[in-house]
Amino acid sequence: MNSLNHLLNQEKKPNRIVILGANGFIGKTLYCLLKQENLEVLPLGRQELDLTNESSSDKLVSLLKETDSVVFLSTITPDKGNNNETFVQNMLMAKNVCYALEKVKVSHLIYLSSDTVYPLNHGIISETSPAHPENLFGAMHLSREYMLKGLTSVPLAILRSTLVYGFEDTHNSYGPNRLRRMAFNEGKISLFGQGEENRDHIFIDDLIKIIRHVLFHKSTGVLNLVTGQSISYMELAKKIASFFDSPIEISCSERKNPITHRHFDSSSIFKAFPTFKFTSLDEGLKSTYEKELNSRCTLSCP
Amino acid sequence: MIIAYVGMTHLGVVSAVGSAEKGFTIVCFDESEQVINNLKKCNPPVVEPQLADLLKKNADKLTFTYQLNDLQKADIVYVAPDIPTNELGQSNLSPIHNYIEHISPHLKPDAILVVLSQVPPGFTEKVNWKKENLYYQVETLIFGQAINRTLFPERFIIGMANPKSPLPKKLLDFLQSYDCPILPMHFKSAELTKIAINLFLISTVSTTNVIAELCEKIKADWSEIAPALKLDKRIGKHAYLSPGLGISGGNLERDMTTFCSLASQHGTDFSVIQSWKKNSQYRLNWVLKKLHEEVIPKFENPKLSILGLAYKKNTSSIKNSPAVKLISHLKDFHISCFDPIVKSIPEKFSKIKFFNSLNDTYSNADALIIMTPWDEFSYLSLKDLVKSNVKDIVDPFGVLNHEECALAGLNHYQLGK
Repeated sequence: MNSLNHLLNQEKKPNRIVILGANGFIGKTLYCLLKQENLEVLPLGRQELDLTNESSSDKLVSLLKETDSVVFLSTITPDKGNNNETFVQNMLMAKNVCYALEKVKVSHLIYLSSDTVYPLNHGIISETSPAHPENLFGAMHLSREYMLKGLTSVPLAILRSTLVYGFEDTHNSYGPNRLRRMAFNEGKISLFGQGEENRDHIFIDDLIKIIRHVLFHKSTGVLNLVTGQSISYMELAKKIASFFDSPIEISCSERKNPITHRHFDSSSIFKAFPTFKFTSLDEGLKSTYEKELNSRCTLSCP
Repeated sequence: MIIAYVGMTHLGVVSAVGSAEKGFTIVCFDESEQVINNLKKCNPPVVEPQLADLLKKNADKLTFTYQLNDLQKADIVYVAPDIPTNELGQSNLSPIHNYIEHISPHLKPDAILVVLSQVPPGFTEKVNWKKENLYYQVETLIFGQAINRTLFPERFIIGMANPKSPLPKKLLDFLQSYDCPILPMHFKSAELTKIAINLFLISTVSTTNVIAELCEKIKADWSEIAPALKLDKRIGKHAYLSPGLGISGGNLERDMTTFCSLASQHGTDFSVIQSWKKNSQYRLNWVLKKLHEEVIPKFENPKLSILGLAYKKNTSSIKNSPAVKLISHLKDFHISCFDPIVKSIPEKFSKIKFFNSLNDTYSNADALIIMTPWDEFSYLSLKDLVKSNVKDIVDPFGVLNHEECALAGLNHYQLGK
């Protein structure tokens, strides 16, 4: 299952969409978009359903209907720890979800995986590139993918997302969000090394729109959620700094780790959704900058 | 001496007409009455430069028939149907098996049977015919240059049961009339030679493509690099150093598949060939990605004009054609198409319109995409293009001059630049 296939050639509204992990950055944004379209959505966050709890599987069984489309976003992200404990907790969540989905064979399942299933420094990566994770977080996602693929009677789409950015993101991982916040808070952006490493960054609005397309087409297979445009952290820092009226210092540091790069081939997205257009990085960064500026202005101007 | 060709598809027709041009008397056999009747009217089933003209010129030396008994007079019988492949590049050998089974009882007992079709190693030695009269000959057909290749072969590669024994006089006389080296070898060696030729070609094409891509990223120019490589004796002036959209046409894909299948069966390394396959798929997307990066974001509903549908110029073949694949990924956009020969594609898309005139095709377009480097496209008037709505030209093969387009104010995107 290395490319995306649409079970529905024409878009059709899903009956009900169940979001697992609805209180996270991506879950909240997806919920808002789907509600704007007056779709029936059941958002389940940790408060409603703690998937690390053994009893959550039975509760999920009671909540699910066979006509549901399920979007599985729940993950303990690396900013909360990328260790044996979080690995096991994440696997436990997947186990409980699988248990429930074996009982209730839902109409469609979307799993949000990660580009960390692929190795670094691999030239250009596509869906046909061998998945070979280099850390526990990637191994966790790949293991979850295999567990979900075992649910043979549930149509499954695996979406492997690259780094996501957007104003509401709370993870503060090394990327546009952290760099922007550093510029706002400290008037400077600190980079690892000379900021040489290239990465692909997808804007939250684009990621959500693609998930919506996948839901409406009831797509199955694997799709990398990537823009195909990688940029170095130095270039990224310069773009962010350019939005500020006052000069932002970009400081470099002694490199402690080898330089790594990630580049992706985004053609599968254009094949799956021919009219889809990405928000350019400049537009996406500007939008998040302006949202943050307005938010800070509102806080400081009672 | 009478020579028969069995199977009037691309390989059979071209080879038969070439042999007639060399002065031999030829019997052309096909099971299809319709194909034979068309050939009798000098309407060949394929498009190749010079083919129709040579067909007419040599009509007195060519007999077209669907009667098996007409094969009885042939001294040499070439079995030459095209071997169809599926989407995975796997050969369907049943047509050639059927042909051999059907014709064998109708041949002279001492007829020389030569398998000319592209068959996998191990095929010919299993053919049920007297081994001393059974041969395999490597075909070197190139779509769009087939007549030239058949009239002026670089060499003949002949597979046989015992390469130390001399070739039969009639076969030798025929082959020597082409005045080129003759290389006898064992059946399997000859069959693998055909694959080897194509794999070396693919390796050159793939290497060209990976370097050309890096050229695009770091602003080097492949067209400046290629001439230097051609002067290197280890690479050579005839090396295939033009960047392309991966491997297409069907035959090269077949050889990669056949090789991987044999290597897998016999436990030899074929990872490099898998990399070529992957790179081919990747390069095929070059135009699609360029459109999404540079053209489509500029327009609400872009109108795209595609010039060329055949997989290469001077052929009507659309097997694995990059243009046809591109169209399937752009089916939600308004597309106008033109090809000098191909006037339709198997799949129907409501927003695609075919034109009979080059200029009409792009008159309302926002962008021009030149997918097949037909010579006539190089005569497109930049002045006319500038007057039209077209501002972007995606021209992977550089049919139009990159610098002249830039001077005319047109955005021109070419492989390797």
